[in-house]
Amino acid sequence: MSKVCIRKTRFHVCSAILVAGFLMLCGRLFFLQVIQAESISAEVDTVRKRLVRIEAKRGDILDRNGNLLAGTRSQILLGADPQMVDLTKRDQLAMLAGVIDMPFTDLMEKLGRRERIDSSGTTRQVRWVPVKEINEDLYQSVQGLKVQGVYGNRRYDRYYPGHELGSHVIGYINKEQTPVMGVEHALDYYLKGQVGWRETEVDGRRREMAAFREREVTPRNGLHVELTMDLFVQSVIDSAMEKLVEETNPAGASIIVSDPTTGEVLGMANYPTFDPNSFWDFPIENQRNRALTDQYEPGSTFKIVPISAALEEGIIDPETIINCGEEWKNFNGVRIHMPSDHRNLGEISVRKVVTKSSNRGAAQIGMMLGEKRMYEYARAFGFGRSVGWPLMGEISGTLMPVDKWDGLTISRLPTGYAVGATPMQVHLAMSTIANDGVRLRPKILRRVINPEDENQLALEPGKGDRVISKETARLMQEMLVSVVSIEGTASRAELTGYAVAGKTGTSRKIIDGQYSTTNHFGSFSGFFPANKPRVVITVVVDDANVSGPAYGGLVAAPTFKRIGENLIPHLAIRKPQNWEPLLVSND
Amino acid sequence: MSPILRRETTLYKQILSLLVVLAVITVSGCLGLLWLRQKIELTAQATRTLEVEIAKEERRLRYIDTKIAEIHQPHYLERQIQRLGLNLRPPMADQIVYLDGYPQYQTNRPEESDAYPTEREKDPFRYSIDLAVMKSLTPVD
Repeated sequence: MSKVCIRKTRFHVCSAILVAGFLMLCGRLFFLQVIQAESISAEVDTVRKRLVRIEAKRGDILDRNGNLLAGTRSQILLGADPQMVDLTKRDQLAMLAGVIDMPFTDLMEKLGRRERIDSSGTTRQVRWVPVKEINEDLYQSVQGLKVQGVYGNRRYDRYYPGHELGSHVIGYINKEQTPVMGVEHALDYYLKGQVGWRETEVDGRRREMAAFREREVTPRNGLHVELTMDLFVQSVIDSAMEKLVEETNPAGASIIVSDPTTGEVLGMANYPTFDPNSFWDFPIENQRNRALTDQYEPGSTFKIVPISAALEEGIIDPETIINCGEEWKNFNGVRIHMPSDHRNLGEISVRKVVTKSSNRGAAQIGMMLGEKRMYEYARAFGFGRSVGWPLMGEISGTLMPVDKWDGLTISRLPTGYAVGATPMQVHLAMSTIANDGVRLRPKILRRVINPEDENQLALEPGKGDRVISKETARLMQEMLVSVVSIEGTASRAELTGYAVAGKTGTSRKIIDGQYSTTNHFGSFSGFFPANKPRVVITVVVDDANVSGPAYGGLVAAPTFKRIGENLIPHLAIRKPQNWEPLLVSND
Repeated sequence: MSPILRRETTLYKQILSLLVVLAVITVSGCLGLLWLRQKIELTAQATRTLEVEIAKEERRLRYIDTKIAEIHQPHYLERQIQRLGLNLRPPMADQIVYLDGYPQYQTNRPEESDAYPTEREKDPFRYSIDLAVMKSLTPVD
């Protein structure tokens, strides 16, 4: 065989191998890129591609001065991998126990749990033991200790720095991050924002490869909500409530403070209450906003309705004489037994009926007004219908239509019985008098703020309705001042130097279907300064534990005074111009 | 060398030169792409690091916000007064002297709305955060 022939053969063999190699490569490529392309790309997508959810930050809830009422903050669940922790380093672990304020033995017990038995009975290594929930400051200290195997998982929690302060209004977010009540629930649409997402890829160690980010929708943070509440006013109310509870140990109580000219609620508190940061530690009934969800028979505070109505209709004037000595009275051909007063007041003026809170006098005025007008005015003042509370949970109370009244209703309704009202309804009726006869809807939500572009959305509750004329309202204001005097039933609500107008109420509770002689609702609703009202304060005390009947003037009026005294400097409520402070003269 | 052979040699040389130029362009292009890719990767990583930093700072700010809100609570301040033994209490009505032009309490009344600074409306947080008190007040509970 010639050399040329050998070379040719080699050449052909080499070429054949090369061609075969290329063909195999092409075949493999065809297999991977065409036949298995779909499944492989799906696998790559599963392993490498990630759709990352980008959480939006929930907006804050602020008071009228920008103080934070509810915010979001990070919490760290500190945990450890027992396999990694060196239990022989006792000094370091003792320091850790000290930093997180946990007994050393408890910590060692947690870290010593290295194995567990799963449901199939197999022994497995424990890789994560939760130790304690701590804040950012503590976590920084823990990180400074550099304990091997100890690390934290961060999560975001809603935080309420005021704790119980205004909890019934603010509401809370539960463990599932669902808004449950109050502003948190009602304005969730604005507060929650809009989550974003990002399509990206990760490497083999699940670290994001930022260069391979494909599409991204940025999240929109939640908007801030500003309330009409005032943190300081709320704190004054809470302190007054604490004192009230300490002194009278009631079954429940509600306090509302608002500006009568705008309807803005400056503060609201209920007892019993709860801390939204640890809502699970309190009975569920503590979450009830009693000022709006509980109805009671308001008693004498309701008398402002028939008297205002009769004045408005021109049936009476403040000096009209009413005979409060009559025990029986005929009405529409029916002989009615009149409600009693604590003593026989005889013939007194309408002004005195208000001052002395005469039941018989109020009942007579109601009869003079007639059933239809009595009902219409009660409705106009807001009883038996929604007050327009912007948050959920409000009830309408009970005010039966005239065709369902029994023979006695016309004599009982004017005294505040046969009607179920929430403390807010009573409060708004008094606010109507204070606001010169115009009834406003309560306002708690002030505006929604976008912190990014400073846009604002004002939340206006709507216009008010005129219930009585300005002249009638002024007459009522004047008469109600006499209630808060030494002659009246609410002398304990007096504020030195200020004319205070208001009305007490004491009603018997219905227990087992009967009016109790020992359990009462005591209330006081009033405003000051009487000539130019700045605040309306309503205090309702359910079953105060005092010796004798829990009169509104006894249990609720002092709380009004306590709150009023603290609000004067804060709200800069000036004394009337004609009032002169008592000066010690050298003469 | 015959003219035909010379022309062929020149042609081969030209082809070879073209191939070399093509190879150089291809290789440098590939290297350029690689460099670009690496730069993109580095920029993306830097962006990501900054994002993490921003998130961390935002988290810290939020935490500080809640902490400031905590120490601004009237109840907390009352406890501080007790703890420090300061005999402080709110002023009585008779102790307040009103000056002309003193801004009234913020209400929605149109006649009073001008008395308030517009900045408060714009940035409520500016009025809630007072870093100066952070150092002087440390939580007691």
